[in-house]
Amino acid sequence: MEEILRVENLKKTFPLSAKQRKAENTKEKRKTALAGASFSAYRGEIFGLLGPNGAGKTTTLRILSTLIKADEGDAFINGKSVRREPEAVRAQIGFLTSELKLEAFFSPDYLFNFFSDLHNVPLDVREQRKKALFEKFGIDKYAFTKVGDLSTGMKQKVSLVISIVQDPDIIIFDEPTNGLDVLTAKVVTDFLLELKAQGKTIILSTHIFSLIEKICDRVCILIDGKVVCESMLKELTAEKNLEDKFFDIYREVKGEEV
Amino acid sequence: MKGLWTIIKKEFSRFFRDKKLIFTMIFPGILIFAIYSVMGTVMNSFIEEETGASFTEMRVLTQNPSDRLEQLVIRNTAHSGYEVEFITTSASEEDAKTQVAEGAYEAYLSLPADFDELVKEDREVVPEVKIFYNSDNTASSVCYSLLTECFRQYEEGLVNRFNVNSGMTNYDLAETDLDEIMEMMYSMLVPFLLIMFVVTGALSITPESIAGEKERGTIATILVTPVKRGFVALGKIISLSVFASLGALSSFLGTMLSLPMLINGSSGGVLEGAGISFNLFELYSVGDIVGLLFIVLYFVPVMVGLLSLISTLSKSVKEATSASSAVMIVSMLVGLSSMFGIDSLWAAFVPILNVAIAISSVLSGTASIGFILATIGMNFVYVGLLSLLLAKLFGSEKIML
Ligand SMILES: Nc1ncnc2c1ncn2[C@@H]1O[C@H](COP(=O)(O)OP(=O)(O)OP(=O)(O)O)[C@@H](O)[C@H]1O
Ligand SMILES: [Mg+2]
Repeated sequence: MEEILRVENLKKTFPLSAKQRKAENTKEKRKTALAGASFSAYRGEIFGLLGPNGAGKTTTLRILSTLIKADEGDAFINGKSVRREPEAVRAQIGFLTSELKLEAFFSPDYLFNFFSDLHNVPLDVREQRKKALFEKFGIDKYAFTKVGDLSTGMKQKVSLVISIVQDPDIIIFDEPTNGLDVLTAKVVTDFLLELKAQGKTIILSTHIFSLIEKICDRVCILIDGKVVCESMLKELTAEKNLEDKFFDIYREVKGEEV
Repeated sequence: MKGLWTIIKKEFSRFFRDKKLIFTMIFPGILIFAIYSVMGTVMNSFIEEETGASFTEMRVLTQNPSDRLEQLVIRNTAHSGYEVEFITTSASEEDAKTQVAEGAYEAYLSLPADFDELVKEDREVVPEVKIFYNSDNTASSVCYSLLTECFRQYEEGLVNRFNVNSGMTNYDLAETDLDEIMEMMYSMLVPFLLIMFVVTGALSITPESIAGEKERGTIATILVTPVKRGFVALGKIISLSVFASLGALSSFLGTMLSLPMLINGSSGGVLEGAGISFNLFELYSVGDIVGLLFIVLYFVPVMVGLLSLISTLSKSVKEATSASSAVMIVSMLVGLSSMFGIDSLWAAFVPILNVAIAISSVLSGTASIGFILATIGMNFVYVGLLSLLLAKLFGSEKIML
């Protein structure tokens, strides 16, 4: 197995404003989001980052996408350091998270072209990909409608398509099915399996056990910014289902009832 | 470099495909033009209506023309811009008075027949001269004082011991003619106006484009692509500068094309009649105007860069707009300060002030090429520094996310 992603001891804290301190009922000046997380993912697998709210999933993926910098530690994507070669990393990955928005004024068609240009995709390749992806997600009907006029689900599909304009080998999706109805969610999960069949590596985060059980090969459980379990899904769920196993681990780590 | 071009293209699409955005940019200029033109025209026609005729031409009815008087009138009006025409009539005095009262003529001059002959002889009973006019009517009043002045000179001339200023020469040796007064006015007004137009142009798009994109999370989407963050920042500055220039140009043209109408209108057309030029584009040479454009061209990116910096550091459009408004007020005050005639070279290093002084000096004809070049050079440096700073900030997660 070829290691395509290696995460080494990532640490990240965020400054807390007075307001945030009050809301979280703490006197600490900084909030620890990641407390030294390490894990690896291998070529051609779907890797699931599982964790409760606030575990640090989004923070991890934002560091991998070079959107933010870790305080300590580093990660290597296809051998490129997110700390030292962020532009090279960005060229290789497709990144999707709900905080990345598309300009409401433009149409999916315009945005697809714009982001393809930013990724230096040749024109003929671009048109071919656009046609295939728009058809697959039913965007073709809305190709020239302003994004601002699309429904939430359609917007999310457009965001997904735009995030992979350059046909990246490594795809990093933060909660890809969040807010989607079951039909749309299925289109997305089927698509992820299809990408896997093409040999792509997919890193996704979720707190939905069923999604992991359905499509992931390996899983990493994150609690309070620490990796508490990294294993093949098959091994982890050999005796119990994922949910029960998760609660076992959670109790062990936190030393408390859920 | 390709990434920079892609960013600029997108910004242009955003601007030029959005009718609302173009409208808010170009509209102020059109509005200024419309308001000033309408005001000018209304004032002009209002004054014309009151005076009953175009102010510069005056028509005097008379039964018995006097050659001597007409010569005096021609001499006295030679440099004034007025023109007086004598019209011989055979109408009765009552009819002539009615015509003046109704405004068909500015005055009715009643002279005895052979007036010029009569006044040469010494007589017990002097000839009677009657000038009927209408003081409700400005032109008529002016005409009346003109005629009485000419008669006074005529009377003095009859006992001729010496002549005072009796030739056709212009005896007024003052060097400031009206053109120069207009130039002075422009050199005080235009720096302020131009700076205001540039700032409002930049202010109407920059916070929305930068703080807005930040707030809506659309810029982060671009930041996860391989494009250099410096290009994203530079692309914004370049595009916004073009849009702000369009807005400033629109307001400036709107003002400069309609201001003459306003000034002329408020004088009831007298200025135009007197051949005084108050059109910026007639007063100044092409070289002056091009110089002006150059100065402004290098100033726009400085202003855009400054407001971009503020917008980048702000958390919301609202915050960016209010902070930028403070910059606008300061800039306008600095624009006014060019009226105090600062001309030392150190001023070329003070942003905004250098532009105000440079513009003012071009318009008052006192421009020094050294100062202008220093100003343009310094603005170039400011834009460079602002771009570098912005590129740095665009790479900072604390600022951008
Ligand atoms: N910009 C920020 N400022 C302050 N605290 C932050 C910031 N971003 C994240 N955090 C905190 O860091 C912790 C980890 O956040 P993160 O978003 O990574 O969690 P998550 O696992 O994605 O959770 P969720 O399932 O809710 O999305 C949380 O406690 C969050 O409050
Ligand atoms: Mg999250």
